[in-house]
Amino acid sequence: MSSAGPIARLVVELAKLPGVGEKTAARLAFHILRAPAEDAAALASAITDLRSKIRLCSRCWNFTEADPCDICRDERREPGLLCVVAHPQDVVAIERTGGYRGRYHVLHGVLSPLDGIGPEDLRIAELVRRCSEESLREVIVATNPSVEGETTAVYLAKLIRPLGVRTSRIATGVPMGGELEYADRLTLARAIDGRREL
Amino acid sequence: MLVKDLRVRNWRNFEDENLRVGGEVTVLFGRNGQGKSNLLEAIYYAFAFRSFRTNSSRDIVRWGCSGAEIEVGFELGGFDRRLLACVENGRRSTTLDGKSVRRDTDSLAGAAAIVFAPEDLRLAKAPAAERRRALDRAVFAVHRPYLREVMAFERALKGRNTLLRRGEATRELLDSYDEILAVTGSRIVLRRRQVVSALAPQFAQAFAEIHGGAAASIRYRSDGRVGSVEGEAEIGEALRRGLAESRGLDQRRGFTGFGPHTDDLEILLGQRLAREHGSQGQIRSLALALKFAELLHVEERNREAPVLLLDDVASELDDVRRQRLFEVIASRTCQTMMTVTERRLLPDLPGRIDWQVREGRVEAAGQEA
Repeated sequence: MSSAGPIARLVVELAKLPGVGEKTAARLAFHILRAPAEDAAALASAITDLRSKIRLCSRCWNFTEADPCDICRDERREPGLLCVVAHPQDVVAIERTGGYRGRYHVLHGVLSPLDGIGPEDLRIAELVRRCSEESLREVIVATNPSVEGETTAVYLAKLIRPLGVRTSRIATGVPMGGELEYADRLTLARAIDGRREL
Repeated sequence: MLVKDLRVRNWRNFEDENLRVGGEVTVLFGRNGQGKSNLLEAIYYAFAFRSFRTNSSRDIVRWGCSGAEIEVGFELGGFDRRLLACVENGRRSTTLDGKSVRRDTDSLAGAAAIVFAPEDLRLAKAPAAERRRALDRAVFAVHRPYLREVMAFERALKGRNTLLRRGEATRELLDSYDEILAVTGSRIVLRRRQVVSALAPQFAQAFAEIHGGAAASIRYRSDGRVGSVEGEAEIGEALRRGLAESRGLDQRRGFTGFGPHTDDLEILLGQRLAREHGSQGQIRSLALALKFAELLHVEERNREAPVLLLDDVASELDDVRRQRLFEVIASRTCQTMMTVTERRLLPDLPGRIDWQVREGRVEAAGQEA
């Protein structure tokens, strides 16, 4: 089937995306084929634009179209507060909460010697520079509570504290709206360890 | 807990087999290399999410297949449940009644399988690593989240060792790994100590009954700096200090030589280490006593009987010890599954169901051939 060439190509490309298997990829491909031509063109140009227009912010290393990014340029942001995250999608997650008013620093990964990722592979030197150049009051480390995330947090604290900047770690524990009896034991134990005064 | 049925697909040498499991004793018999132990392994795997024989998921999948499945029907806390464990292209997943669960899920609290295999009979003389593994399994049987704690420690340890081998890590980076090892390691030491002190009296009593003579005891041995302190925070501090002190040496040898991964479960006869002074007979009785103690402990803590998996142990024991083993099995409420090559070694146990295993096929068999 020679006409299957472009379809097969799209299926293969789509199936490379996380969470998309061959079946889903085929369904998406046929959907795009049946949709109006301008929809397909819009999708194609959105993908092309993504790669040509998005770059890294030179201050926080988040993905951005303009450098510095919107958040770094936002005057209403609290200047002394910095939240360190592993990935750009973590910025999106924290922004969605609407409760955080400081700025960010994106590491683009966490320390993992097993995968050959050391401090020099992450935006850690840039973070340390920001800590001494910008007059920061507090750095909040919001990496995942995994072994790698925890190690990275401890490491950052060791580098940042001597610079006279307060370093804190996000709490782990029982989710809001969750019920204690349904929390798994390790999470509950950590929540008790990390209790705070009322 | 009561296991009711087992189905294996593409598991080891089985294509697709299922069997009903007896409420009391299930016997799997057949010549060597037919797959009897693979069925016990499947039960263990379903409940523990890992094998007691290998760490590689490649070994457990039938040759030429991409994945394997184990389905176990069982009763826990008065409810019928179904556990489905899958390995597909090296990725593991488990569902309980159709819902995806993690291995430390509370839904499986109290569901424990205890294995007794021929290599366990030499435990008192085995390398310390095997005794630590046995101890970790005993903790896991009563506290499922322990597995996650152990995995966190092991991951941090591998990270530190990788840094040591590369030899270019900064002080701050190694400090960070020491910190995580101290936090995760202190929990491991504490849990292991708790389980050893829970097992100790029953172990001593069981050994006196099976063997007599010198009194047997067990104790958990850490480096003196850690062994002398109590409490999670204090143990953590001792680990932190010990890791810092051994760093220079660790950097030269390229691995971490201090911490709970070097501890030992010491088994003693009188005041002497069984590993150095025990006779063949004593070593086997010690192993048996430790299993009995574990069985009692798990039953007491979980308020739910574990399933006991005896892998070809009967043929490894002399008449007296075998007799004692069967007495214990008959007196406990726990369900037993055992493999044997020769059924004539087995007494008439009540409620016994026999299956013959031949070249990856399982067939129902009457009580005596």
